[in-house]
Amino acid sequence: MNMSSTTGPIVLAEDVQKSFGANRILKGVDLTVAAGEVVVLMGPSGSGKSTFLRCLNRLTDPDGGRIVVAGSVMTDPATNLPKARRRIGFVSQHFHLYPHMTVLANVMEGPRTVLRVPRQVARERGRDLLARVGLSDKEAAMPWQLSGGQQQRVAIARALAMEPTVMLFDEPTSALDPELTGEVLDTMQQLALDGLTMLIVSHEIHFASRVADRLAMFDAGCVIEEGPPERLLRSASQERTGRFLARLMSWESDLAATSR
Amino acid sequence: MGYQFEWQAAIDSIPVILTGLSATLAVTITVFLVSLPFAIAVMLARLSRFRFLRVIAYAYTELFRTLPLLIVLTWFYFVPAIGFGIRMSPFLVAVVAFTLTFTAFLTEALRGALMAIDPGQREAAMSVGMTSPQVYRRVLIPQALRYATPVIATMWVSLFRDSALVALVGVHDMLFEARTLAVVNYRPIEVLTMTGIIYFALTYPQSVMIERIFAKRRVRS
Repeated sequence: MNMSSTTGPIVLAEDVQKSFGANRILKGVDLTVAAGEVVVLMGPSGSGKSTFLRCLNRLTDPDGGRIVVAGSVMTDPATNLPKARRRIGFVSQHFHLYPHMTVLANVMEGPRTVLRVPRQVARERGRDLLARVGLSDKEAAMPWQLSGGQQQRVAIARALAMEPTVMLFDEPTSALDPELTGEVLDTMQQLALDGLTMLIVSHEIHFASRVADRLAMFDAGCVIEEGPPERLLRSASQERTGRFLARLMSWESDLAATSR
Repeated sequence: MGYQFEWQAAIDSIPVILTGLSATLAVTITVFLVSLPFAIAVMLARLSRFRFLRVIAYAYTELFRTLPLLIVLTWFYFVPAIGFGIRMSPFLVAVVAFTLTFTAFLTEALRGALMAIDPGQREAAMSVGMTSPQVYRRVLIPQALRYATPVIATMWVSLFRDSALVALVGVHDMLFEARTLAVVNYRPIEVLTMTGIIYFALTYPQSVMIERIFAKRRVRS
């Protein structure tokens, strides 16, 4: 994996603010992510975690604050955003594979069009990545022929093809049937073990406790608490954190019980 | 009442009418091929961040979607020649008038298709670092063309049929040949009926074929 040679944080967010109309979604979020770190953003829906993630690669424009990702000042109007985004992988909830291209072409598209990598090289890299996400046999398939979990793994390979410095995952499993989330989470766990820097918005608390170096708890547009998962899960210092995590855990064990 | 329909005259007219088929096809194919890239350009102008381009493109599409094609056709037949002394061949007049109208409709079909694309497609393309032109060229326009293909195919059939209007400005298409023959053999009813039959015989199979093709391969996402 492409580990950044720069020292210092890969992601640096200071006082990030965002409103949609009168609705204040982000009320000054600070977050720092070091190279190789895996940070999972958790919190109730509407707490701003997805909006914050989308501000990091400027799919959403923040109203205020400062964001530096992989060496690019994303909040500086002079920054060439397409160029900066090359180093920021993004995986969305609904995969959004290009429906008019084969699986392999989806993975090759970024390197080919953006980086002008020769076709042969892009193809080999694409095949390597498909092997890595366990989909070598699907390279000629069209996206609609795949299950949701397979599509999401292709989306991950497509993002990795750019050899990003950091990967952002926006609820990567919440559009999947419960029995398909495992394969996606396993793929992500492998990336974490390989040392990739990742920011993940997720409600999968068991995955988070296994993979995350740090949890950041969002509530009402702020990070109310952050720290290693084992500490937060055992003794959240904020009452709201504890309540939210307890609810997630009981819900997940209910789900596990019923699916058996 | 009591009109004696002469089948022989109708049958005899077939080869004469068909001499116009090449002109009918030439107009249809030329207009179609020229309109497609123009329609993409006008569609992009309508979505441009420059207000000036948006207004021009909007005015153009709305104007030519509302003007009767017959007016556009005769306007280009008379006005450049009489007003500006510009001589255009009947074929050129036909192609210009048809292209202006057809492009306007095609633009709307493409724009509708583009609007139907999930915004996530654009975001996915932007996320790997594509610039806006790259996003359009590689991701949005190819999908819009696919979504719009059934509509565009249907528009092709209408264009083929409506191309009979070019007879009015002197293009020697099938209808032109038919009218010329009718003047000579005094059998306009037989000749026009046969022309209608020929148009149906040529158009209906295209229509059926298009339906078959698109029933089979629906666009999926």
